[in-house]
Amino acid sequence: MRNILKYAMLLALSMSIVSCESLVEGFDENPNDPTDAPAITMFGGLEAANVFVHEGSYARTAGMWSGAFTGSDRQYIATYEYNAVASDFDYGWRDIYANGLYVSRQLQEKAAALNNGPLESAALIIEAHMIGTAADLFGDVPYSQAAQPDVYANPTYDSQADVYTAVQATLDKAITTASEDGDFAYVTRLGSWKEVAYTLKARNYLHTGQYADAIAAAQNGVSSSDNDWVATHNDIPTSYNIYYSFMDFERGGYMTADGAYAFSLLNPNDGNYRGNAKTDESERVSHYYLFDDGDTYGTVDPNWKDGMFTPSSEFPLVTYVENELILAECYARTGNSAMALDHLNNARAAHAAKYGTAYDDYVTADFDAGGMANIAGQTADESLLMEIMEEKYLSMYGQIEIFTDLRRTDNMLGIPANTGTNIPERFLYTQDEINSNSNVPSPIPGLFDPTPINQ
Amino acid sequence: MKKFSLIVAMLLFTVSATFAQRTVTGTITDESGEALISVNVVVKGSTTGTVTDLDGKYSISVPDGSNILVFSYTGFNTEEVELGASNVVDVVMTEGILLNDVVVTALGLKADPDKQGTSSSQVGGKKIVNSGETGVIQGLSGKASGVAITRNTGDPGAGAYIQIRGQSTITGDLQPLIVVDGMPVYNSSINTEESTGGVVEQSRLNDINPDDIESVQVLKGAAAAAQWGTRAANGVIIITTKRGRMDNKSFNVNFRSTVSVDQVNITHDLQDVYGQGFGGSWGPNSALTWGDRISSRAGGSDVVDETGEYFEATDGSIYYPITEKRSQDTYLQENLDQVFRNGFFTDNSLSISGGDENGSFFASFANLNQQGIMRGNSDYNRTNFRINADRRLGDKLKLSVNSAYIKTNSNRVQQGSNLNGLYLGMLRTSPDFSNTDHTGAHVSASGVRTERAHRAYRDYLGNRIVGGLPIGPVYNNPGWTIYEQENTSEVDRIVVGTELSYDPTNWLNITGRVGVDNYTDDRFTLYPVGSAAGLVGLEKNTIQETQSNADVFARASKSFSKNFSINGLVGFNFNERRYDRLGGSINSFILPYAPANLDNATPASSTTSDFSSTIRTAAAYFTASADLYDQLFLTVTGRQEAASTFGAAAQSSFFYPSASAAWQFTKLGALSNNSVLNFGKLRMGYGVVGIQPPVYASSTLYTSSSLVSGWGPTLNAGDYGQGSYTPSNRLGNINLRPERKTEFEIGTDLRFFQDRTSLSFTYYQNRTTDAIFAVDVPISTGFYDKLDNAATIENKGYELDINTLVYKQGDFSFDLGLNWFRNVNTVTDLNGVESIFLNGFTGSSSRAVEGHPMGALWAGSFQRDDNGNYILNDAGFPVVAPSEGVVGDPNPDWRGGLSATARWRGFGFNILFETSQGNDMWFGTEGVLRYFGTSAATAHDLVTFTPEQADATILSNGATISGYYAPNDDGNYTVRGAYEDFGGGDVFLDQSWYLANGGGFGPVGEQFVKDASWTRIREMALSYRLDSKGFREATKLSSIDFSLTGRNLVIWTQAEGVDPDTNLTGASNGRGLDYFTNPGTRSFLFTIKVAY
Repeated sequence: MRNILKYAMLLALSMSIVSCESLVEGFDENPNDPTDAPAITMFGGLEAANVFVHEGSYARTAGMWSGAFTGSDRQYIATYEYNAVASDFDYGWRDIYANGLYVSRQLQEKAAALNNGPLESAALIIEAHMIGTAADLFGDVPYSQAAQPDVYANPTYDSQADVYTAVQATLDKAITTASEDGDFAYVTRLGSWKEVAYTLKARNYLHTGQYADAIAAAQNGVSSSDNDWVATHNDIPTSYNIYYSFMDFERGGYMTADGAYAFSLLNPNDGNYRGNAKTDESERVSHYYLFDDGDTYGTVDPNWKDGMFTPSSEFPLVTYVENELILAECYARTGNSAMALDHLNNARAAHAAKYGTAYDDYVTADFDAGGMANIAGQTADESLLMEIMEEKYLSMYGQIEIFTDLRRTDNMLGIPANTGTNIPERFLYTQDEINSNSNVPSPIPGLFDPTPINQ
Repeated sequence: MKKFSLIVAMLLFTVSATFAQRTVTGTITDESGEALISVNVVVKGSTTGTVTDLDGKYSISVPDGSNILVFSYTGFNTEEVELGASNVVDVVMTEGILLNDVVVTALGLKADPDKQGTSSSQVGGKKIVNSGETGVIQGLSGKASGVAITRNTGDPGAGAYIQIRGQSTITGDLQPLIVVDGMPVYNSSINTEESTGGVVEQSRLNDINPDDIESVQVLKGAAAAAQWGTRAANGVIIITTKRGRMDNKSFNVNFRSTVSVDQVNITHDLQDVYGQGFGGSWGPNSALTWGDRISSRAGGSDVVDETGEYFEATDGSIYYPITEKRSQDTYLQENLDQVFRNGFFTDNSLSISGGDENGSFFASFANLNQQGIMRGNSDYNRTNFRINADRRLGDKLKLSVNSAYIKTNSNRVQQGSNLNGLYLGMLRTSPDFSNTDHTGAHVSASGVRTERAHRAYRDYLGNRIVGGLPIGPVYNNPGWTIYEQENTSEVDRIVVGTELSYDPTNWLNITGRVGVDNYTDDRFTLYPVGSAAGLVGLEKNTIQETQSNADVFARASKSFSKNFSINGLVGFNFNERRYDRLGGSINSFILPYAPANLDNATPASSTTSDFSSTIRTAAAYFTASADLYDQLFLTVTGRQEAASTFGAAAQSSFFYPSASAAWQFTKLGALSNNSVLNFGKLRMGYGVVGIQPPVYASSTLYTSSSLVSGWGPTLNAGDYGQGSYTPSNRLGNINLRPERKTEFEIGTDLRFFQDRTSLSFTYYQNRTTDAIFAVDVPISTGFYDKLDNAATIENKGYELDINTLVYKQGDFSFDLGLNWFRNVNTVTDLNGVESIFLNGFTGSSSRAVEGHPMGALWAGSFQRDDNGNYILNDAGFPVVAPSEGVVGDPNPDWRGGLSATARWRGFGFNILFETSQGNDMWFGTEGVLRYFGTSAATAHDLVTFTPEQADATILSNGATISGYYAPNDDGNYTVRGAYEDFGGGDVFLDQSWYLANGGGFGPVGEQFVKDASWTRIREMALSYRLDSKGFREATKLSSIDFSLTGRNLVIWTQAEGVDPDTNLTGASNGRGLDYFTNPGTRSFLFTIKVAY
């Protein structure tokens, strides 16, 4: 008996110590999620992140700070009145760097290994799009050390100028990597990735004041409205147009267009109306804004019901009209008003095709003193530039770019501030980044401190 | 082992050879027939003594001339037995008056509390039943020092949160391990929705029938709990269920029936001076209540337009568009009555037990049927069956089986930050709007009729209709929330444990235990067509958890002399926990009013979810203890444990040691036989316990790509053709190892005046190192965070328990019990991270912040200078600080309970006060009600300004009064508001202040974080027992008890609108949050108990 017991106990003891580990082995593998996925499967997620950056909270804030929208309820009142705090900017930053850049880099690596040039190129273009926007909004941002967690635990902030240079290099690489255009795009729709790359190059050159380079790039840019790069949406809540989702589905009444400056320019019944004998904004205003309608949250809402922001409305990312207006502005700024006017008219023709109302070609005389588009007290060239900028301000309604243009041009259009006299000059570095990155700039620039390029 | 046995045998031989004169043997049991281990047996007037073994057996050599044996055991009356002719003396020991707390160890084995070097608290089953709470957890409130219970809400079946000696992990589970009859069981409270919204989930521990509980032992410190390794860091609660007696004569039937009436205990303070609207004007459908002064209206009925559209309520009431608001009626009470009623429950429980010398059984059946304080779909129904049986198989083998089946059905009401929640729509409703008719038909101007339309204060005609179907107002009418929406949960649970105990010799026992706890929770949530904010759909989830546990251990016990005995135990434990959740949801219906079925939707609006995990833990453990000179007791334990959750690159198993010592210093000559201090013990304990890493955290995963922003919009790449998998935002960590909590405690147990007063005091300090949390990494690295062993947390505290029999004379007795505890928690190291979000909202949250207590309340604040004065803008208003920070501490400075019990003949009276002092709470509801203008704090008087004053008075938004408001007919301005001086002279606070920085949606959460200390009469009961001899003979019953109980009868607190003993985020790690949390309750109960 004793022996049996003794052996039983010894057995129990040894079994326990030896087999403790073997009993638990193999149960650490997650039965729910994989640890890898092929490049092509990652692409839709990357596109979605890019769409979220350019159509999401950053775009709304940019629009509110540029006279396009109005914060009317709850936290949006504070944001509208420039009472923004660092954490208000967390979400977009996450999409740029974690859901965007890191995914893009992984995807590029896998695509390169497969020799899939078009896919790698598209990932590079999306990367450049997002990082260019980050530099526009924040100034100095991480790029050269970003999205390499194993190498750089605290990515440094590259100077804004260096980021723009690097973004151009990324776009150049995209253009050379893709021998041909890929036909993949799941969350977005476009004519040609290469054209998009060129327009993005032009956009960034414009921001850095390199007008000749911008013209050269834009000449290969998006060639027609049919080739616009747009985000597509579905009639289901998880892929609604993001503006729609915010304004009606999730946060009804937070953002309206009560008193929005852009509305006053487009509204034929407003003293500020910009229309003239050649320009009829009566359709565009209804596409952009919802008014005289019982369903609005404010007196005027951005049109979430039957216009630009319905659940399945496509949202513009990089367009032919932008490309033409970049050309127009660059020509105007380099003294070639004839070419400037041509490209302005190209943009107007695109509107005429889209809205079916008059956007007749302007002629030089329209900008001369006494002309229909002349601004009293300004020269013809000044008036033309003002017209180009105003057209761009309205054409790019809903996009972050109007806020960038506003700051870049020292608000030459005179868009009124929502409170006080100053309009914010940047977005605040995010709370996430302040909390965790020891390389975040110090002191942290304030909302009204211009980014380096605008200083 | 052989050598050890030899030594033991030799020692035994030596000892017995020296003293043998006459050998007396016997068995010591308690009144239920259970063997008592380690009972002291002493020959009176000599130094000869021994202790009983694991079977309660003893053998003692009695010298010539001695003929009295003294049997003593803590918690029992000391027995002196005169020896007769027989050499066999069996003793049944009776429990003492005050101290009936035989303790159980971490393995569920009975032990003598006076020999323990660690502190633990015991709560008898009766006390839990008598609390009037429907859940076991809530029933523990105020009854044990060091144990803080917080209810989730007062909803029927709502779970609760248990905190023992402070929070010692950041993101790990904070709930203690629950062991029932030696078998770990689930106390899950699984929230599949957003923690700040949704419904209040149950705690699975509350499945247990309180009437089945014999006792609850709370092992608070690491030293006592170390035997459970990585499951024990939050303490262990050992529950022992009732068993039948093995004494061949008893057959008992007990029946208890309780009825209860429940009421809301605290409501929000709302104003009914001003009506719906904005800027001082009435505005229908406005979100806000910054409208006109109701008493200034014309009076009479509203002027309506009867020519066009209208809403026809279910009861036929017609609502037309109002063209002129004249009515001065207000509806605060009516709107409250629409929702709340007297809740009600019946609780019936029946048990039968009995046995003979070879076996026993206990069988019970219970049903609790509760209707909540909210009308409509708020209920909880729990049915319990239990059979516990024991059987001796010969002298050496005993088989025990415990089995329980539990079925709960409940329907819950949505709460919190949730447009479809109860309080959100209800408390924002303007006082001049009646919520009574929440549904009916809308008829358009052209006569189109839409049934089941939804009417609420933001859509008073119920006319938000798209495509012929109502899409609902922005917020639910509360009537819609409670009557139309459904949130059911149906739980089937089986817990079975078997134990085989084998005694090969009188000094050795081998026990094997195997058990399974399995439950399935079928949940169902329905948002019918017309629910607020267009939210339509159905969600079903089936959650299943299965825990299997096996223990084998051998115990040896040997007494070498009165002065030296040892106990040893070695064992092996295997535990597996499997979790499965399978769910589906649809967010549209093909047929709007068909039976709730997931097939009733297009594929595009259907989603599924699927998650499963398995966690395995295996360990070997030992305990060794020595009793020296009957006054010094030493115990060491150890556990070597491996678990499947450790990272692949981490060590595969970890060791958890503990040691404790108890010294009964009153056994020293000089201190013995003291008439004041009759017992004194010093104790000390040291132990290490752990917390396992979260499951599957060691690798970076790829997940189906879906982006969500803080505002709600979502973009799911899966909606586009081929879908997408992208890396998740959390970086995997192959080095993850368990968190380790090391605790040291020292304390004393004293008893005075022949045990009439007992005092127990403990000081402890513990330190958790390697606490795991998602360390935020710079987002620019490509990830949000990475789980890492990176934080350190410390707790220090004191616990004091005093129980005293104040007075006893004849049939009258009066007892007082006090427990008091203080815990100071500090997050000492967060690896340089400023703060970690635990729960709450962007803007106001509960966080871990270095240098602050866990759960610190974090929010924006007004900027202050070094002297604490506000920094003001030019107009004299305070400006918002650029960054958020700690603004409060939800942890109490101390908590305590004071109970008093008086008995006289059959009458009993007891009262339990409980208090929590110094705990802050974020009153998010109050903040937001200020924004909306429904809070009583916004019912400012009207102030009249001349045009000049109006031009000169600057409001918080920078506008002047004349620029912001329309003038009266006489040119003056009349504005609702009040002056306030922030340090730069009076400024005028009007709606623009509350809509921005002065309200709950502004960036300054600090204003709504306040002291939420409370003191309450937790329980008060009056009872009467009929058990006189005449009664027993006449009825054949042994007793009938009647009792009237009140719980939460009175609460003293400055909390705003909410019972501070609730928490929006339930049993989560985020504490002290209120945001449209469903209310708490008070109850009145009547109970009758019949015993046969």
